[in-house]
Amino acid sequence: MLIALKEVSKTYKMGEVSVKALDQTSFMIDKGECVAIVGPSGSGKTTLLDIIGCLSRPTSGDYLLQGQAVQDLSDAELARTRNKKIGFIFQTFHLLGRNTALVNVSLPLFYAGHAREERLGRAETALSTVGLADRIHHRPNQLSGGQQQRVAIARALVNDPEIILADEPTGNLDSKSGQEIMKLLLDLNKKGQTLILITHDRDLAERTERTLTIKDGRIVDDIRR
Amino acid sequence: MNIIEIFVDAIRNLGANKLRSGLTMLGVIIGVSAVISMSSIVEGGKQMTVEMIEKMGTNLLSVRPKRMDKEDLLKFSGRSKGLRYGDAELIKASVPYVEQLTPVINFQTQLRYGDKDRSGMVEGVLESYREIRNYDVGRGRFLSEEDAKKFKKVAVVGTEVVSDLFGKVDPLGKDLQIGNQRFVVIGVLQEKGSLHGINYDDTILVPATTAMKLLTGNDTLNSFIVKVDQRHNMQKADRMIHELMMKRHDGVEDFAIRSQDELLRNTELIIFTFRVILGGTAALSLLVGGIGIMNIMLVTVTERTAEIGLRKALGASRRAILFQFLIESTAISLLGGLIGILFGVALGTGFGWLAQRAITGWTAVILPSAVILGFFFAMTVGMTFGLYPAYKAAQLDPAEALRYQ
Ligand SMILES: Nc1ncnc2c1ncn2[C@@H]1O[C@H](COP(=O)(O)OP(=O)(O)OP(=O)(O)O)[C@@H](O)[C@H]1O
Ligand SMILES: [Mg+2]
Repeated sequence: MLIALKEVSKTYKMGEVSVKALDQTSFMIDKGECVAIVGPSGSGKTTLLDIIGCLSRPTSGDYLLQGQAVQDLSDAELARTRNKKIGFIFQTFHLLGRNTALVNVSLPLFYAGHAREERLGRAETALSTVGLADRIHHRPNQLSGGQQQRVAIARALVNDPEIILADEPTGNLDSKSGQEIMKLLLDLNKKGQTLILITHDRDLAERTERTLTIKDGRIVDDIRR
Repeated sequence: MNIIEIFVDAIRNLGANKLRSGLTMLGVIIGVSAVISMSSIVEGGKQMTVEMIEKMGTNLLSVRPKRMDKEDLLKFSGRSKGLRYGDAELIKASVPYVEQLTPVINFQTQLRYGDKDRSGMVEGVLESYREIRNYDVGRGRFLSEEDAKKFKKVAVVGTEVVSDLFGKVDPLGKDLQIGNQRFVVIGVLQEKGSLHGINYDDTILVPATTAMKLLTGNDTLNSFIVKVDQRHNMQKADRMIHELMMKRHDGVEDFAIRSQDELLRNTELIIFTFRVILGGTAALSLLVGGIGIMNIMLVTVTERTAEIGLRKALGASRRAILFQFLIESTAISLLGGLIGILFGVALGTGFGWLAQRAITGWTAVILPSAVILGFFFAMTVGMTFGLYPAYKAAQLDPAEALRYQ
């Protein structure tokens, strides 16, 4: 089992008020699966992805990643886990505006401690995988939205992670670029990477093998096709 | 290797916001250049003063009659003999540390050569005066032992006396009228300058013996000057002279011994005070610069919250983030320090250059220790004041930082 959540809850405290973003959620995801997470706004999708991606810890419950309990890991170990096992893709791309596509893509390899030549070489390969071999020295503001998201995908896969987490990757794109991005992600999944993506788009969700529906912090539906 | 890359990245980040970075650096630039230029000025002044004091002779003790107040005068009424030629002879004969000794008899009198006359200060001294005061004879010769023994009416004069009285005439061998006696000029002193308001070129030296016999008519001295053989014997000599003089003067302390060491020590104390004040001022401005760095770094961390979240998502540990921002604040102070050194050296040298023109004997000095100190102090300020913002950045929760807009 790659991912196993057991009664995971996440509560945000804001002074007197506390918001229960996840409420005793339990499910498992196998290696190589392709999972869409759907649900209304504010239902806890991003919170769930944060926990799967080791960006935050559950308030209660257990999260096992490849059998390892995440709450036992130190900050440095969590950082290493995110670096080696997880590739993130965000709705707003999150590219560093001062740097070129190449440098942006090579960033995970920098934190993995690789030498400069290796980093740039592997980043270039990743960029050609997403069809941007001729744009490696462009800065984000010199690229279209679709191209920026492809740079982000290259960055997510450059360190060859087991899991790719995408939070509404097509949310800021027109439908044509959205289709292209979706195809790229599904191709990666076909090559063996586990793909978990959040989407509001029903059509996109239909194209995955499995759809988790979340509402008020609870999994209310788990469909496999 | 990592450090260099992070550093280069930090410099590029600073370059992206040139005005802000420049203003932030200003505090450090001012602080470091103040340390360097001010220490250069103080050191220049110190070297000049010490050099001048030493030019007037080293290891000197001077013994003068003490001004006594009314009470003392009543107490010792009739018992104070004043300073006599015999005092000087006794000290010379009985203190082993004495290398040279000269009595000094000063008196103001009328000088005349041909139709020119003016008043001047005449000093009756012995041949040892030349070494004691470090006088160099430009032309002719200095006073000799024989001159004193035979009460010769000879005089050695300074350059200012020559130009005032003789004009273009060669003074050697000419008759100079001092008071109502005629003296033959046997030597001209080399120019020496002035110190503490005394012009050492406006000098007329005659044998002390001649002065007592023909000009003052008694054996009272204005002072006598002792050159001690070694610097570390100064205090011993001082004590011994004091003891001997007290005995000879029947326990009346009607004299005072002044050490040239004291003068040097006082000068050094003044310089030290200056250093502390200037150092404090510079440290304060560096402190202000440090607070500026902290302020800007806090703003930077807030502005780049999303970037910090992203870096953490990509695998940056807390340490890596801490390091990145610490290097950034250090880069600010490092650059500021380097620019400050350039400014400081330029200011110090420029001031030295001006001072050299205005004040004879001034030399421009740049202290390497001040350069190094200023630089490292600046670096330390950058690191210290960068620590808190960098710590804040490192502690950010990655999930929340990524949501930050
Ligand atoms: N840092 C936080 N502090 C307090 N409450 C938070 C925080 N982050 C999220 N929440 C709350 O938790 C709940 C779930 O938020 P989450 O972002 O996971 O929803 P979502 O399903 O991703 O929504 P959307 O589809 O709009 O992105 C929301 O009610 C939100 O207000
Ligand atoms: Mg969301």
